[in-house]
Amino acid sequence: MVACTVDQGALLKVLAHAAKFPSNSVNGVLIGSCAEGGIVEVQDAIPLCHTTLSLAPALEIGLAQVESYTNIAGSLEIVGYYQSDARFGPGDLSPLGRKIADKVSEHQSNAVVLVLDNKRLEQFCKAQADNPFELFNKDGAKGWKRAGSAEAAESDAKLQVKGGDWKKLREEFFTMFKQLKHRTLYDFEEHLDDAAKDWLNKNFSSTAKFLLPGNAL
Amino acid sequence: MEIELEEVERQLRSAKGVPSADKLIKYLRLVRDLHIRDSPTVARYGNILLRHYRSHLSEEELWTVHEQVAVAALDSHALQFAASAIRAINRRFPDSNRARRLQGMYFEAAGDYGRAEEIYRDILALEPANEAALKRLVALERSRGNLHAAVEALRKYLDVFANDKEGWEELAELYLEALNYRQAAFCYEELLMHAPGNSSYYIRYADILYTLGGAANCKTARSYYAKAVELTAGGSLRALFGILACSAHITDKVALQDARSRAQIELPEVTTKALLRIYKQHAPDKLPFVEPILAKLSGHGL
Repeated sequence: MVACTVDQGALLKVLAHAAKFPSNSVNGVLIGSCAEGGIVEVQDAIPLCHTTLSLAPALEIGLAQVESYTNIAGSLEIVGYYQSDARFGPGDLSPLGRKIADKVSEHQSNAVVLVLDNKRLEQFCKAQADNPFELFNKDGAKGWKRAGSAEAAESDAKLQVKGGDWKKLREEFFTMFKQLKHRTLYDFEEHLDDAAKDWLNKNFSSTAKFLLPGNAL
Repeated sequence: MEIELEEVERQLRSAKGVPSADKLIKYLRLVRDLHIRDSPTVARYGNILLRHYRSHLSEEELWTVHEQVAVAALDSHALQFAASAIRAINRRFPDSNRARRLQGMYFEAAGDYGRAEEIYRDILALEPANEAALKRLVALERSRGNLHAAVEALRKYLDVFANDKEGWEELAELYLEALNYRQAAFCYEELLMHAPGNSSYYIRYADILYTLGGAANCKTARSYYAKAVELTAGGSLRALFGILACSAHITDKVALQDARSRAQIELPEVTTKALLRIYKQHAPDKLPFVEPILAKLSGHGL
């Protein structure tokens, strides 16, 4: 099983994406790096779709642009995929999600998948639970499996927050939500409908680091 | 109107103390006209309006607002608040199916799907073509996660109400969720008949054909993307990218003498130029990511 640390800012973006479109299913890619021991370090989340996850064009062009971005940025690569379902149910990876995750894992064999568990999200918001995300790894030909056992404590050990913790994430999320900042997060589909909308969301998270040609770190 | 809505929202947010009645009324009206779904905000402002400014509303608008606020409260899972609004509506309109439907929606929001279904079937027993009840049955099955039952219920509804564009759009959405692309395509063929000037229908239809795959589907998709480019005066990134993606999958040998085939060869070039123009103007920071993709896509095929 692959362990995984995720930058708090990346998790905040995933929550913001889901919060911006509460009645839709949303998805996106995770970028970062994969260390020698197989530990996946997620540094950023790029939101992709919110109208429908089933159509290829937006997904393909989005993945291609993110790939270009990581090639230019150099030290980053596509390391995973995230999905949040419209329905209020347990965080499972749908058949479609598995297909998309397979495609994403072509970039990185140790790719991880984060699924937002809406029931746990409710508990997270009420401060009754820490981690609202379900982590999936690919178990060879057997496909995508939940990390660890069904026990929350076990999967907590597999998914760790970097640069913060679950409590700080909750506080940041509430602040962001109250200020309606999630409405300033743009996904790739919104960029397709209005080129000026920045799917990199450079101004969204102050903790994210970007490497663009000509820019210093 | 969208700009008006943004403006009044801004004014409401920056209001000190209780916002004024006319701004609240205007906000709720614009939301109704534009079919915007921003339930927590609607519930909040609607609540203020009903609590402080009932006398400012005509009888008709008062109850329209009650309904609007009840639905918004249900959508925001503010169940107690929704219940009080729904009770008030039922007291005022005791024999109304429209009011009963709200009761059903309350049970849906509370997760009591059985009770909700009872209410809708009661309505339909006396009025088999009650639009609202038929639609709620679809929503119910969706909430239960029964995609196929939702599809069946929506098909039954569309048998009666074949001109409901939103119904066809929702059916397409259900088919896409079920990964039944052929049936989703059929829905868009219906929609295109109803609204032949709607560029987003052309784009969606092309997206579905492209996803289905194969040279024949890509060729058809390309012509629909091309129509969308025409309808949007070359401004749609989806349509432009779509043309390139399709062209990359179409690898027929083309006779250069044929004028139509020459156009096919020129199409990727023209499309690439259009895309670069848009990115230069609106998103120059993305050019380094887009250029390699365009080179790859237009280098393929013909």
